[in-house]
Amino acid sequence: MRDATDNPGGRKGKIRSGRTTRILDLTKDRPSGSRMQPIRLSTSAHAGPSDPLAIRGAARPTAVGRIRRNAVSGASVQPSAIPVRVAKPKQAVDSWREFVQKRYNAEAKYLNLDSMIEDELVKKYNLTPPGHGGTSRDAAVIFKLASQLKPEIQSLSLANNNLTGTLLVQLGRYLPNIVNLSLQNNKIRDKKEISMIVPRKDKMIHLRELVLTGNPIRELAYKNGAGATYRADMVRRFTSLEVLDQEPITQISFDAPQPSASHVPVEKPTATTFPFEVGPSFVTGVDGAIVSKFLTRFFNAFDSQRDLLMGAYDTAATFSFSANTSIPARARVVGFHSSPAMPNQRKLDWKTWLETGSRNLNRIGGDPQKTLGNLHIGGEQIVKVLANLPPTRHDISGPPEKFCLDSFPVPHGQSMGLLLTIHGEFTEVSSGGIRSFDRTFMLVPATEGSRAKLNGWDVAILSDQWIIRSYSSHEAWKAGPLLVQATGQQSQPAPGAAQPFSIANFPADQQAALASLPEAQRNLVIEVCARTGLNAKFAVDCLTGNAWDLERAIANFNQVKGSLARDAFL
Amino acid sequence: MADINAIAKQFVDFYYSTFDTNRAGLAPLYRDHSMLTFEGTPTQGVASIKEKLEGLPFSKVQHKVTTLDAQPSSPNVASLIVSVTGLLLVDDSENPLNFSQVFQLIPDGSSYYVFNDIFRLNYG
Repeated sequence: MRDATDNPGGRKGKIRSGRTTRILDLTKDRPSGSRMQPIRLSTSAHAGPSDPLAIRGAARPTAVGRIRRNAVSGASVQPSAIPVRVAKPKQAVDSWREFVQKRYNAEAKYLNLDSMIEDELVKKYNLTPPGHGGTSRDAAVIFKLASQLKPEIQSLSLANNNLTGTLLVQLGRYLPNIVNLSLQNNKIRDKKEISMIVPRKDKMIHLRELVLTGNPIRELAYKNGAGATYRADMVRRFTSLEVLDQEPITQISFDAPQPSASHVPVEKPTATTFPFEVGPSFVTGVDGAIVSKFLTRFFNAFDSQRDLLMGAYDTAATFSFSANTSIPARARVVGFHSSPAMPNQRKLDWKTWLETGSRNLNRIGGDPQKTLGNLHIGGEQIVKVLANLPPTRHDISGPPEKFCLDSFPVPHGQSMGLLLTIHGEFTEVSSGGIRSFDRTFMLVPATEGSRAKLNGWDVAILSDQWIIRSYSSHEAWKAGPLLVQATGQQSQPAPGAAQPFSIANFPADQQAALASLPEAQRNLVIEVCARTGLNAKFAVDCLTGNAWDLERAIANFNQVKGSLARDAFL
Repeated sequence: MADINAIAKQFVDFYYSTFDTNRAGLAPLYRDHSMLTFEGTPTQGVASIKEKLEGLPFSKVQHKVTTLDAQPSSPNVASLIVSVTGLLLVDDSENPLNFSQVFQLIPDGSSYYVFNDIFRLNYG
């Protein structure tokens, strides 16, 4: 499970504690003075929405992103480090302090600054609250005083104050750790004003709940049917947001393969690796269960009875596929197409794929007959084409590392769509040979009464692009540095070895396993076996656990060798 | 439809020739709400994406497009999804790397910008 606990950054505690304090639940304790009753929030931040995609969109920061953001906010946003020029007479500051302290509920860590203009103290001291004659500097004074409250403020309501973005420019500076924020019934008009509040995404990274109800930015968006775009914008801007305008933004929980700590390489990639680390699957802004459910059902039907998929495609859906027939250089070196471990690879044939209408614009160029004819529109036409493609078997219940997903919420008209890319492999049933593929779907929530909904699909496919490639193993998606070339040095036999230790020294089953490895990794495995006496399987485990660093793997072996069973060795 | 294919081809040609010669020149293709996911690491906004692309640790890079396909991503809006697979030659490495990249292009006036950009190496 992907969870906040997997990521460093120390954010989780704060967010969790924020869960217990809900801004608008607290407002009920206020004496009735506000002109508008704040909206009560739903009881659970994770209340199940009826529309699976419409309210998604929380960008989930990655570990890297989060560390970086925390580093920035920690370094530069110390409230005390930014002096406020207080030009007001001391008395005004003291009056504001008295006001802020009166409004603070220390137990709930909640500062309620609703309807400031109506407050008795404000009237008594003749103060000018921001939004009613006060300037952004007055607002800054208030935020600075708020930042000095003990214990640290967690929730803040500024509802009913006539506030604009200009008046809130100092908010994030003084209160960067705020968890719940209500700006209900103010005058925030557009994204520009939001940018004044959070100039960069690394501001207010703890913000869990935000209320903008009653501001033009939200109300106009909904009036113009752009509610989904508005939500997507806010969710992209406030990356940690879980609840917006009392509607939950569901966090992801996808069982994507995650690298364990030991897979995360410590040192920089060396010259023998691709100079960029491979990241694990990235799924954001959508409940992973929806993705899993869709993919499972889709590929099951795709493999067994393709006409069942008619319902999954929208009536305007498009489908096309292209065959990338080249044998990748590394796969050729490794010999996937001729490996004795994969005897069926030789039986694979591109003929059916190419004759059924591969739509590679790079190859068919401007031939309109082909570009149009090979783009299939609507469920009926699509399943007809699918029926003519070679039967397949996707091992979706098999090892998760064989597949790699990237997905994003994208605005789609009034609602949210999901752009989903999956990389993986499948078996061509007729020959038993394996191919790799990349497939990109554009998914939208299935509307009530639509064919997709009637057929039990939560989402409908608008676009499906499929690229079929020669098999190149799933090694590419393994997190960590990617070995791109075998190095002569590492594959040298151990010094003093009478005979070069080679693949021939292994039993047949291990030879087959070795043959399925990319050459660079195979050489490392052989090296480890030569130096430790481990069998191929344990050598692979040992290397995998040590980021494929030969010396670390050997050192690790030396630490644990006493505890290894006999069958770990050759 | 033919139009979409031409746009895709033109975009891809421009994108990779710019990537290979002058990565900074890619910045105008993105907007503040654009998202680049490079090997599962998301980056959002023109400035961050520019920084990310320019910071990729290879000095010399060459893309060779093997397959290219494009489809409309919505029946209503003229946005499109472009899928590419190809070869990536990094710093005179002998073995090209296979990559897969997906772009979602959104119309903006008379041109298009990149809303989503998803890059993955496919090894091989």
